Amino acid sequence: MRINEDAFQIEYNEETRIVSFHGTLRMNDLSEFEKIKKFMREAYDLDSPGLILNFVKLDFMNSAGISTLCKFVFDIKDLNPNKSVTIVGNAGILWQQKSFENLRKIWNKLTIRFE
Amino acid sequence: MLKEQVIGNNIDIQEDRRAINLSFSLPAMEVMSFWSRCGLIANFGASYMAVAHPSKKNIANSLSFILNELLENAVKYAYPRDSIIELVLLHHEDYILIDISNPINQDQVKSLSGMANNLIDLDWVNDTYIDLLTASGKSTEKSGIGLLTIINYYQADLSFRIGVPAGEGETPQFTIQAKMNIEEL
Repeated sequence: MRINEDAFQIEYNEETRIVSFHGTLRMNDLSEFEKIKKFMREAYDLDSPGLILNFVKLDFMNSAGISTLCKFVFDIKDLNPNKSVTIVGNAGILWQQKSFENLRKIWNKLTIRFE
Repeated sequence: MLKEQVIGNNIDIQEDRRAINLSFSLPAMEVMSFWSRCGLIANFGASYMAVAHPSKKNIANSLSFILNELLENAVKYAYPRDSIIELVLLHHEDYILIDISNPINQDQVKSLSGMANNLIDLDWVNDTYIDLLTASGKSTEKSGIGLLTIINYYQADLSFRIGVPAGEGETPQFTIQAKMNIEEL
């Protein structure tokens, strides 16, 4: 699975179970973020023990994108207690550190690490 | 003539001659038509300010995040659509000030005044942020979620000026000023 736009690329690798984000997510249209939420949900719903969301190569996301990610975590947190979700962030990007700390306030079983 | 209401600790940028100053006048329609211009201007303004702090690796990314949120907010609220957004960046030794103004619809004055009063109340900001992030799309769009984010992430000190017309034929003006301590970026 892959979304390929000029400003960003999102790819799901079925072998590693990693959704990788590259580029900049600063869209105005909320429906564009809904597509990304749907993509993450489709990756989550696949038959696997866990999902990894890797944001290391994502330079920017606006608050609409951050809100979308929060809603995704809120939606999945009670779906499957046996399925783990890991967020991998970039240790050198402050908005990622702050955003992902907040995600743990929504779901304290989320695993978060920074590279 | 506009009667100005000030909410929060607003700094008079007209009298500030010591700071490095970068300013833009942006037609709201031109930015709305090509949304990525918000990010382009944010990245340029942030990089321009960041070169003075080569030891702070996060500053360009952090400033770009803040500028982009303020610009997106101004473009969304600008009324009429063919109005001009005025953006000023001031760089002091230990803080950066962003001052951004746009005309607004008279009908928005009351709700934006209410939002501004909420946003200078840090207890409200801390209590509300996560709830708003997980709320429905429509409510987040009107809640100032971008402004809440820059307060929550970067401890931005926000203040507001609302220029309300004394007579007919004038347009109200809404200004947001964000003061960031460079150590927080």
